[in-house]
Amino acid sequence: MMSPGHRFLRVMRRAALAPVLTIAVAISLAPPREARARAPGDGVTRAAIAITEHDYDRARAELAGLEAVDDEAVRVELARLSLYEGDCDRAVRLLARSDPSGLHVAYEGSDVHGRELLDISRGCARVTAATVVEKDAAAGVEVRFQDEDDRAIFPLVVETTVKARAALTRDLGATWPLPTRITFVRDLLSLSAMTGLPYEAARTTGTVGIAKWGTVTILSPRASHRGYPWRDTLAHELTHLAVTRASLDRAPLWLQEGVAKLEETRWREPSPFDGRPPPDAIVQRGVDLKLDVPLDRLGPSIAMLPSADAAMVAFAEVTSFVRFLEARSPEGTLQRLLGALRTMPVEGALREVTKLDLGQWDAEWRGDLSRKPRAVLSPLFGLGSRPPDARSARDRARLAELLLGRGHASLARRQIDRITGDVTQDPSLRHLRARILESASEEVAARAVVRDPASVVASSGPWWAIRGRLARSAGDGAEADPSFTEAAAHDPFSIETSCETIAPTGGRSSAMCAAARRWNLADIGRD
Amino acid sequence: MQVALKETIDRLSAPYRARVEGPRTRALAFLVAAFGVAGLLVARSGTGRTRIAAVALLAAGMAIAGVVRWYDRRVERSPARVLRRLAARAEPLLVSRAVRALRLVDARTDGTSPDLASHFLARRLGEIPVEAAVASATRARRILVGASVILLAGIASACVSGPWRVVEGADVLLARRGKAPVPLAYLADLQMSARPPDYLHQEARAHPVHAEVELPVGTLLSVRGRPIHEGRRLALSDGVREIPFVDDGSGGVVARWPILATAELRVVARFGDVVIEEADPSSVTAIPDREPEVTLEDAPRTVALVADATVAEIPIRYEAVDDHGLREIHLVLRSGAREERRVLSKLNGETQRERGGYSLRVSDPFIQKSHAPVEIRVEARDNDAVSGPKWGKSVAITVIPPRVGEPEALRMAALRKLRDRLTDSLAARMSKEVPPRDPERRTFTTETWRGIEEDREHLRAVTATSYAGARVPPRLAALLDGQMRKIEAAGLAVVRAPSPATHEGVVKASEQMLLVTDAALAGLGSKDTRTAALALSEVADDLAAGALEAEKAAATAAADTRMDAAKVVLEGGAASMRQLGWLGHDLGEIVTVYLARVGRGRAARDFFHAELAARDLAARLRQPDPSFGAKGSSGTGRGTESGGGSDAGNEEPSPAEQAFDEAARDLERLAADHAGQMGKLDQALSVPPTAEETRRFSDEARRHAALVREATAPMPSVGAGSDSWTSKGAAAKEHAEQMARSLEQGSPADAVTNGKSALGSLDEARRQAARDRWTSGDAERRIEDTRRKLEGEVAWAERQLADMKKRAEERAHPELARQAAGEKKLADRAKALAERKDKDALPDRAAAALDAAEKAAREAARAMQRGDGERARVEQREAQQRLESAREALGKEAAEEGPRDGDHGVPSGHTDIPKADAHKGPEEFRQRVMKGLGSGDAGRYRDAVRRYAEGLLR
Repeated sequence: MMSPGHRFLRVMRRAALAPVLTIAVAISLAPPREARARAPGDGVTRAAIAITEHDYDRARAELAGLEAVDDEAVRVELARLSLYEGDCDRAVRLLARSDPSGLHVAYEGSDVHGRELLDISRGCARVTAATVVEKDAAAGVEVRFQDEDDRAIFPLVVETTVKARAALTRDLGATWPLPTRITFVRDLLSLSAMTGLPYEAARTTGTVGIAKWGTVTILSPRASHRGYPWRDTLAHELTHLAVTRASLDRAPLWLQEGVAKLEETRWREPSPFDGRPPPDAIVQRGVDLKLDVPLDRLGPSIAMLPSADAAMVAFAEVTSFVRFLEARSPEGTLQRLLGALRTMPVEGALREVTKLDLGQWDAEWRGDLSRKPRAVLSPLFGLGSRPPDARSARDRARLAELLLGRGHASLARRQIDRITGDVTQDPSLRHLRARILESASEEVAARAVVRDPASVVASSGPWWAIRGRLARSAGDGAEADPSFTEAAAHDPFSIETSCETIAPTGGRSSAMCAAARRWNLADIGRD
Repeated sequence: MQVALKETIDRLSAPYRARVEGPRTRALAFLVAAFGVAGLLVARSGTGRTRIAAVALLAAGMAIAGVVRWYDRRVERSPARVLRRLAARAEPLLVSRAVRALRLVDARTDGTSPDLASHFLARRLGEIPVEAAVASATRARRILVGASVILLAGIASACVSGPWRVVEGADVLLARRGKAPVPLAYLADLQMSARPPDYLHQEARAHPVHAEVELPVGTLLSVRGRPIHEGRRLALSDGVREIPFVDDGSGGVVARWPILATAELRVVARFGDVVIEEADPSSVTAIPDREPEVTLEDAPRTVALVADATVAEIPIRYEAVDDHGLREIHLVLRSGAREERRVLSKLNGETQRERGGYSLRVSDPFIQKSHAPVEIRVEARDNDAVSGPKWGKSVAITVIPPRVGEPEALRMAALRKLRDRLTDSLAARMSKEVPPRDPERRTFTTETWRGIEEDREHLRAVTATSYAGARVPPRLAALLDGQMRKIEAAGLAVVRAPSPATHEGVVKASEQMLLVTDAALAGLGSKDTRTAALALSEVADDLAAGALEAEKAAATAAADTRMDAAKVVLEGGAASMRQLGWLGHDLGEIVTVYLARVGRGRAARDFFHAELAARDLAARLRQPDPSFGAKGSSGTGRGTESGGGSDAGNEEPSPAEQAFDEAARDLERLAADHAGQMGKLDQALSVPPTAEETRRFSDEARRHAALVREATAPMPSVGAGSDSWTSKGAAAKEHAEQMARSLEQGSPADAVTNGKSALGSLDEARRQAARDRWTSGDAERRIEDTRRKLEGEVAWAERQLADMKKRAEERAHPELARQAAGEKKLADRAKALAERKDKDALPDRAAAALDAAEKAAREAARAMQRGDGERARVEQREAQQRLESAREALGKEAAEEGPRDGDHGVPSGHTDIPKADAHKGPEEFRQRVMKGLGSGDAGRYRDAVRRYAEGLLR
């Protein structure tokens, strides 16, 4: 016989155990861990977003619990993570397990399909196979060089990256997960394979850099005969990385490219060639030629536009527009706009931050543009015009080169003297003229030809190189040093730039000079 | 006392010893012998165990004998035992007493006096009678003799029934390492014969036994004999291998030994693990079938195709010799991992010596595709069916082909030298002024002209030279020639009237020539680079395949060799490409850089990434574009991401080159259009006759066909030999039959053709018959008669044909008049083109051919106008021929090599062959081909040729 006291205790004991039992039942009824992971849903999306934000640790953590699951969406994100971290072989292994045609990247802002991702991974694996990687742990820079001789410019790459990151942090509040990954490829075909940009599009527009998959893929300066402004290009592409990360890859193309164009020169001291040709003038000419494209219809990439002229006009449009937007808005507008894009579409974000929508901004900008005086654009920029006697000038220049190459400097001068008009603003022509004068022992005249940046329409490696060389031989280090710096920013593998001489031997002793000597391009008129 | 005792016992035992000693010794000897024989018989089984058992038996026999001897001596030392042996059975009581008495004497422990004990012993011994001892000895002797008899019988039985077995047993027992020490004979009447392998086609031969013989490998040696001892396992052995003798069905045994190697053969008898050999061996020396010896004339040597550009072919003269016979001979070409075998000769396997030759052209596809050294060997295979066919190889002729792009690089270097010379010439002309008066002026003109002549000579040398097989393309040569003519024309003006103006003309022409040469150089370099890159892409694929092979097979030597070969070719190609201008430099450097990547992977044994890097290189070389360039820019400005200009170097053709190319393309189009015009004329003239004309002709034609057959009836149907008149006569009859059929089918043109062939055959028959007059009888008369009749029929057919053509022309007249306008337009185009001679610097030969073409076309147009279709056709053909000559003079590059970058108006890419129903031009072409192929003098094959043509064009 149980006493009432005992009965009470028993009831109380059952009551105390009830929650425990309930939890135990709940646990036993819940799907096993693996089964729960079969519907990865949010985890995959969170991982995709983390990857887009270049927060690879967070992405890895999100995907860690899902790796055991044979889920194709998980595989795609794991592959994407590998691609972002530069492990292309692993990305291929993950994606090649089954036909990835039907797979999509989980993140809503992405338009990448599994098949495309596999192709890119394969291209990346092929291009980066057995290449060399240089690291600067202190600076947080990791550079892969397809051409190992390009390692000579690694210090310049690090310097540019560090300065550009600082400028972007200052201007846009960008933060940088380290290391910053950069790949220098040898040609457009490799650039295309690494990034997924169609090869024909790359050739059509002359694309030299792409920021995608968390990496800047950029063309080696030696790919181009006379180089190209590769340091500004690097800064431009780093801006894309920052904008992508800040906006969760939701920034429209005009904003991406406009900001990148603004920032590509802000990492360094201003150059006399900044803003030349004026973007406004190019836009005005583009409008005349009907080459302009509405800002919201630029397509997936400027590199996909039908011609280099169209790309030039598009770049000028977005540069002019974003510069206008920045000028008319309070400080920090661009940074706030990028932040707003993380949570709302571009129209809403623009209205939220600036109180005006894109249409209103576009109208204001175009109105401002139409009120500006039409700047004269040199016919050397093309865009529908061509310098008179361009063909003749080209022939004369070539004859001068050939005569110079055979040691007939005075006769070469006679040929080049017959070239007149706008075409004399071509920096390569100025370079040739200076070389001829130098060969004719008229160093003073030669220096005068290349002294004034205003005398040429655009920056050019050879122009800067001979300017520096002539200044150096005149003992003017103040002009020589920045000239060579600019020359190296365009054409670092020219002997004239890196060795500061045109003699077959001698000159500066540096890694870049050694690389230039190995590259060994024929001198003028001896090609 | 002791002496007395001994004497007493000796007295008792003397009869025993006398009776038993001898039998016992013999019995023991027989016992040992019996054990020995038994052991030898057991040993004959030859196994290890049995041989041990045999030894054990021998030992046992010896042991028993020894024990018995020992026991005897022991008994003899003990008087008590002696007493018991002597008399225990006969007098047991007395012996027992005597033994006790002996103990008393020996022990004396109870205090008995020795003398008393001795006395007592003597008394007891005396009680034993000698007879008892004699009886006992007699009984023992009987037993021993009996045992000896039994043992002897057993031994004798064993030895008599198989004395050889005992000997074999002993031999086997003494064997060491499986071989008995004493050879024994087992076979009598030995015979040996050898049958060489079938492929040698030699008869079987008998050979003396136990002699040294030499026989080809594969010979089957048969050894026969009569067994001396039955029941032995006999075999033929070389000490390693044994072939058992088997019953040959005639009371003997035989063993067949295939000779594979030199050996000493013996007959052996096998006993378990032991063999007993016969004493005398047969030494057989195997003569192996040697591999063929191949000698290649002038080998070894190296032929460097670049160094010796005059080599057009490599003569391969060989001799192959084999000891027995050759089956086939191959020419083997090897380069890197590639191998190609070409059969030079297939033989019957009996030919022992073969000589031959082959001419390997350096343009051979294998050599052309090889960029690594090519080894050329002749290899011969023998007919060895025993050990398998063997290949004998000659030493190699090594051909060092040019590196990829090397001929083009040499050509480029020559053109660069030309450009340098032209630059220097221009500089010389620019730096001079026309002197105001003679004699300086005369000197000036002389020097100017000499300089021009030297330039011309240099140009001629450059365009005439072969650069390891590559030549300056004809189109480019024609272009440069035209430009040179312009300089010459300007130079002549200076010579005629020296003045600053005429001198300026020379300078301008020189500038133009230099620019044209420079642009052509760049364009050619770019084109050559692309060609070389595409060739190298295949090598890069091979490199990748080698890396993949290495990855799969853990770096085999073959894979390494393959990769090394590909690397050498790629390195050579890169070096050549670097000399081909900017694009070549660009791609050449890329090859070097990518090879470094592959090398990095290989060095780390990371073949996966080495393969990927090689694939990357192959992909790059398949896209031989400049590394960087923009196609859609019109200016020099560059954005950050947009290059905004082409980076392909100075590849754009010069205006002169463009004009020249344009003229060449115009000429191509003109020739094609004129060919179409010819087709139209043929079509117009092939208007079918009216039904009435056809009916009338058919009726007449049938009658004439019968007359044709009748006329040739006297001719034989079958010839008696190719050089007999009957053969020619039979051919004439055959042609006449074709003529008759053509007439019946309403085709007078074919009838005339066949009739003329028949007449020709008859003429030959008549000449042959005249030579064989003594044997050919009245053949000459018959042939003459036939010819006369047939000639009339052919003339009739010709008249009909002419009438039909005339009527066809009358019917086609309106159409011909219409076509005359078209032909005239083509003549105008030819004239316009010829007039561009000076402007576009067309070669003289091309201009002259165009003039002639224009004249012929105008004449054709006039003939069409007046309705003379046949004349128009002749003139048209003349015009077409001239147009083709003009094309030849300009070089047919456009058609053969496709347009260069910058060319316009000529579609590129895939071109479909027009189908039969596509449009009129192709249809006309078809009809012309059909007519050409189907209407010739094809005799009995005419129909087959027509069907073939139809099949080709369907």
